[in-house]
Amino acid sequence: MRVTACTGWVLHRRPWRESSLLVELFTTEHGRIGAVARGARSARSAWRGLAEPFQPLELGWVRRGELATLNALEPVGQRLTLAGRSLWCGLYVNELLMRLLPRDDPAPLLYDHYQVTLTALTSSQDQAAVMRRFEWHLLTELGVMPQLDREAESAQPLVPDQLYRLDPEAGPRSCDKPAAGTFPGRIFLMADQAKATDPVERRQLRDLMRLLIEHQLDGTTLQTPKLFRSWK
Amino acid sequence: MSSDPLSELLTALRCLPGVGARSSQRMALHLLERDREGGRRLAEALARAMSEIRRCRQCRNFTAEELCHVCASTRRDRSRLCVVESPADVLAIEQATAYDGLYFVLLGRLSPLDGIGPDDLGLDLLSRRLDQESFEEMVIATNTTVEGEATAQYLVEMAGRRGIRVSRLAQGVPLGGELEHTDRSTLAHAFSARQVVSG
Ligand SMILES: [Zn+2]
Repeated sequence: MRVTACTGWVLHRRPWRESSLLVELFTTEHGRIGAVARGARSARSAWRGLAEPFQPLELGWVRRGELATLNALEPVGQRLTLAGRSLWCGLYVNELLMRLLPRDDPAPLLYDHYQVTLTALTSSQDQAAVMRRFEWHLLTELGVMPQLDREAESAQPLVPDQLYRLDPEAGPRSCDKPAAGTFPGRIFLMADQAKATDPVERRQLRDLMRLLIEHQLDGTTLQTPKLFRSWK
Repeated sequence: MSSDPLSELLTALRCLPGVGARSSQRMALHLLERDREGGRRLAEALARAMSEIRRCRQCRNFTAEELCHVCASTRRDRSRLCVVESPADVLAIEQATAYDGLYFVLLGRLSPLDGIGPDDLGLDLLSRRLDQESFEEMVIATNTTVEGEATAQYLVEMAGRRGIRVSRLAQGVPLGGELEHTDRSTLAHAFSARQVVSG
C-alpha cells in the first residue's frame, strides 16, 4: 500500500537499528500507525530533528507488513511551542493515545480533538480542563465511556448531591457511604464539559477520569502522571 | 559451554556501535593476522575499564576514582552547576568553552513512555546536592528533543523551588553555517528566539 500527502503527528519514537527511528504516528486518515524512518538519526539526514512530537507533518509511506516505511516527511508549519508544564501535558496526551488507541484504526474525530487539545495547550492557562476534555473525547471515541448522567441500574437521572460509586463498565451506581471510587452526582454530571472550578471538585473529576482510563489499561498505570506527582 | 572462540569474538565485537557482521570480521581478522599484541592490549584495557570505571559519587560522570577530576578539583567554581544528558556532553563543553563550574550527568533524559523516571537519572541525588551545596546558578544543557525539553522543565522546577537561578543554552544558527544549509527545525527555532539588537 502506498500513501501520499497524509498529515499527522509523531506520538513517540525510538532508535531503530543503526541510524533509523521507529516512529509511532497519529494520522488523519489512517489513525495510529507504526513506521520506520530510515536514516533519520544520521547527521546528514534531511529528516533529522523533524520526527519529533508536536511538529505537524505531511507524510508519505509504503507498507507491506506490520510497519510502514516512510518516504516523505515534511514539516507543515512550526513545531508547537509547548512551554513548561504544557509540554508535560502534551506528553500525557501522547501517552494516552499510545496506550489506548490501537494501531491501524482510523479515528478522524479523535484526530481533530487531538489537534484542538494541542493548540489549546499552547495558550490555555487551565491545562487541567484541557486534559479532562481530551480524556472524555478519547474514551467516547473509543466507545468505552459509560453513560454518566444516569444511575446504572434504575436509569434515573443523577442527583447532584447524592453519592455514587463508579462502575467503569456500567456507570454510576447508588451507594450510601463514601469510599474509594465514590463521587457526588455533580462530578459525574460535569465530566463531559470539564467545567469544575472548585479545587476539590477538580481533583475529584481528575480521579474519576483516571479510574475510567486505568480500567482500560488492565491494571497498569500511566507513567506521565506518576512524574507529575513526583515533583510536587 | 564455550563455542568456537572466533565466532564468539565476532559476536562480541558486534556490540560496538556501527559494527555489523562484515566489520566485526574485518576487525577480528586484522587482530589475529597482523596485531596480536594490539589485541591483547585491547583486551586488557577493556577488562580494566569495565571493572574499574564507575560513576562519580557527585556528578555521575565516569571515573575510576570516588570523585571525577572535575568534582575533585579545587579550582572549579562551586556556585554553578551544569546539567547535561551524557558524559560526551561534558567533554564537548570542557573542550569548547571556558565554563569552570561543576557538572551533573543525567545519563539519559526523562521519558515516561520508555519508563525512564527521575530516579533513573539520579535526580534524587541531584536534589540532595541542591539542598546541601550552595549553588547560585543551574545551567541546563539538555538536548533540544521533546524529552530533553521536558527534562529541562523538571529541572527548572527543582531549581526554582530552591531559589536557584536557572539558565539555558541559547539555540540557533551554527557559527560559520549558511542559512540555506541550516536544518529547518534549527532555523525555525533560531528565528523564533531572535534577539533585538537595536531600537
Ligand atoms: Zn564528578
